[in-house]
Amino acid sequence: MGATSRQRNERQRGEQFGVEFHTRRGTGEQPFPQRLARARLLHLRRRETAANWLALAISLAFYFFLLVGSPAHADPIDGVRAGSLLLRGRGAAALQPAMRVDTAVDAEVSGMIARVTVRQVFRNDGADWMDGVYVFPLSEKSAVDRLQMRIGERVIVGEIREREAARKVFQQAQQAGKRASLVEQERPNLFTTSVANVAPGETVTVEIGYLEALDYDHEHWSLRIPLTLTPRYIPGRDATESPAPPEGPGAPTDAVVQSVAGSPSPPVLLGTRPPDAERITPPTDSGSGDSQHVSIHVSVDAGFRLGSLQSLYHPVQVSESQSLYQVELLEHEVPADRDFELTWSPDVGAATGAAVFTERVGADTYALLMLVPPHEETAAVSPPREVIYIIDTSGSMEGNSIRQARAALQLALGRLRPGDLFNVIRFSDRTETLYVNPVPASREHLDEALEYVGSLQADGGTEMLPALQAAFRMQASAGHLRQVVFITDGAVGNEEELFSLIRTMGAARLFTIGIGAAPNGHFMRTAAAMGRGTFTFIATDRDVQGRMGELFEKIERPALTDIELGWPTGMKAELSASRVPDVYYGEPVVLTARLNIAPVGFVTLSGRGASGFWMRQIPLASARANEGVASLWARNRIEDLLDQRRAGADADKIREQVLALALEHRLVSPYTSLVAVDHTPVRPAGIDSLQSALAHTAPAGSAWAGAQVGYPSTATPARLHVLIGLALLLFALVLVWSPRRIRVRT
Amino acid sequence: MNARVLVLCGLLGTASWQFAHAGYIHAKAILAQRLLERSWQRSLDGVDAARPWPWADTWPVARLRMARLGVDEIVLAGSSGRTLAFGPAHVDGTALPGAPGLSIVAGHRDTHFEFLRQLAIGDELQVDRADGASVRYRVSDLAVLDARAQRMPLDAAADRLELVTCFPFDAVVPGGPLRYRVLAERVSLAEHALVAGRRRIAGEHGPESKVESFANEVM
Repeated sequence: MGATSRQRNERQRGEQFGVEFHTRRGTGEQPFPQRLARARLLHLRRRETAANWLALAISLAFYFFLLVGSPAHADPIDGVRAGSLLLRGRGAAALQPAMRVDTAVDAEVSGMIARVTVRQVFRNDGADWMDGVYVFPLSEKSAVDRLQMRIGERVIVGEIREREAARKVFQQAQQAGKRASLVEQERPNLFTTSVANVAPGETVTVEIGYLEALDYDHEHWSLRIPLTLTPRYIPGRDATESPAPPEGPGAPTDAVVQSVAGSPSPPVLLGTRPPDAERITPPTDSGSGDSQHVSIHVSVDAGFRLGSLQSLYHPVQVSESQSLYQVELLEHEVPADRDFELTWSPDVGAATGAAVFTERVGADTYALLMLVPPHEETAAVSPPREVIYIIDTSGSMEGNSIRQARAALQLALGRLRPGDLFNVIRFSDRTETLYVNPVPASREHLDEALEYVGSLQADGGTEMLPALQAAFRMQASAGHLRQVVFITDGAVGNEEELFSLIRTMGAARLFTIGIGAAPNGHFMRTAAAMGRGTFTFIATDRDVQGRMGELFEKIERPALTDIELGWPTGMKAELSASRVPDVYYGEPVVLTARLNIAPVGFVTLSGRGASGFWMRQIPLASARANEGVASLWARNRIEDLLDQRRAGADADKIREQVLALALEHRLVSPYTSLVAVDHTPVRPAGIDSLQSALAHTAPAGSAWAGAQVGYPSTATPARLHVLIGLALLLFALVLVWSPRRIRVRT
Repeated sequence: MNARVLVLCGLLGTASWQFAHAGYIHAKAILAQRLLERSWQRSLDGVDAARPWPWADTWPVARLRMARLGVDEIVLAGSSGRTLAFGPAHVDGTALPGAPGLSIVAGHRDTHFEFLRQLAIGDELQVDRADGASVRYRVSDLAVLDARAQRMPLDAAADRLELVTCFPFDAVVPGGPLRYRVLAERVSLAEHALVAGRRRIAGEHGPESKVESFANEVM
């Protein structure tokens, strides 16, 4: 039970109570309010009961205060911008704003590749020299290949180094009083920028550049730019502890999955604390008021006229000239409290069927292929399904997220057909299954499930491992296609451990639904890929209907499987992925390959669909040249290698291969970082620089946003409860006393 | 008449529900500290991040004592707010209590940190670290801050302890913007040695222990 959530729940309950009370008074249906009014009139006439009336008035006024009076929040004090850190300068009496970071994102879309530049402006408003550490999200598909540090007019270009070496270079520069910056990867979608020796009053800009292949789904292209992160839960078990059931008092015990219907399942293990837990849990800023800001500019050169162009969560203005679209935020700067997503679709008649992009680097040609499979291959109706829904009810889902998750799950339950089987699992720090084993989707079962889902509240830790284990262990029914639908914000730090489990799930397919303003995209995408399913994101209430609709189309139809490629004779192609993933309705096949010769002839794609075998040819000669394809290939190759490590490949060998690829293509990876050093020392010897961890903004609509304003909230509503209780007692007393008099008079 | 009885019952029922809630908050605050004793012992025995219960998203990081007021509380990791119901919480991103640098600990104004209002400048606080060492702090400043305008400092230059709670202490509705801050400076090592007397402070001068702030570790 978290304090914040408890407080909030209680506060909500209090408000609900107030509102309920209010409406009951408003309806006038009950005799109670009328009598109350009459009682008040009588009391008015009878002066000797003035004291009594006063008590009533006080309690009413108190109620009124509860209904209307919430602490005022709008405040003119704006001397210090939020999102900044305050440091007490040496000898200075007052708190001063210290380091602050603002972000400007510039994305250039060309065809199906985006080149994104993230400009982090570190400003030191304090009187001391500063070092800063900033943990921030980037797209989980990003290939980070550029770093530039700007100080005034000077530009220092970063170099790729092996991770430890890069850190050494940075630390030496820091100690020598030189300006330096370092970009490291913590997770595929989580990075750290460190800056050293920022002079008082100085601004240092760190520019990080990455490439990304765009998503295509249901005839829409989309570019997603993560701007903040949902604080990750770090599970409890120490990596050093043996996975065998621990003994002795106080040792962590295994969770027991309890089914609502009774009978506990065998114990399952809790998650393990990842070794880098400290590095992935930066401080969170509430994001209320004047918080950390971001500006965004996107230019879209899709290669065709657009039928639609839409920013899903931010108001934007768009200008167009000759099929080149410029997108800018309507408000120049916005709080960095939600992900940015831009989607567009071609004009009618210009639907995308297939596309090839190539890049020549040295003797090699790199190719990026995309093919939208024929729709009729996925249009058929699939065999009966057995769906296990897992819903995350942990504390990080509190706020809008749990509401959206409930709505999504209720929609999904409504889509089940007679003959399908289902079950619901909810988890926080404990896992609960609605039924011991999947049950038929009968009216009674569905009603029961809908009610159960409607009553779910978010609170507690995020122990995903037991929930997934419970789902995978559940008895499979013959003749049914087993699907696991996982609704979560993915706010966990032990992703690797979960992926390893998902790898073992066998024939079942896993679909992830990422909830919230800033879900963990890396978890959603990779978990779905390993579970041979697909993923979707829901960020707002209005997304629920549409996005879930698209997901239903996918999970209710058969996937295209066994996809194979045939290359022209004489051409050797090294695919980045060792296995071509299955493709669901509305999705394209996307592949990157390294070719030994210039592209000629046709590549043949074949696979198994609803009507059996299908095949398509894509002409390679019509390929468009596009910068970045090589980097994307290398990035995908690295991802595949890291996946092989999960499958048990030799870790050292994988490390060697990843390191070589990353250094060759200048990519940031788990083993490589970008580092930039300005070689003139600037900080005078004898003066130290202070260190600060910069906060990220809490996602909008989450439990972290709003309530906590820099300093945590540190009051319980206990006193409020006591006073409400007293007021109610007083009220009851008045009521006991007054109607008796009324009766006497009538 | 029946309606009146119903309404009365409703009122009395809701009233007791409200009292129960208030009681629950306080009971949890007191009981949790008892439960935490054991995991604190495990921390002292060298278990890293000893969780009081397996699914807890927090664990004890230090023990805060104040002899004059009879305060003895276990400080928990992470001020995500979820932990505050159980005990004072260490704010992420600041140094751990007793470690070099600035450490911030927050607590509820009506339970664990109610004692802050009675602290005066010059009072001594003792922090027991997980490695067994004790560190003394002396209260140097008392202030009321506006959380809307002021942010938490993360200053690694001075060894300070900041205790923060909501202000005013007697406000009824939670969620106000004001915070009461007690700033305490670490009593210097020489002085500390005198005060501590024969007490073993092995971890104090030895190699840097595992307690390190987020910033230190990353830099």
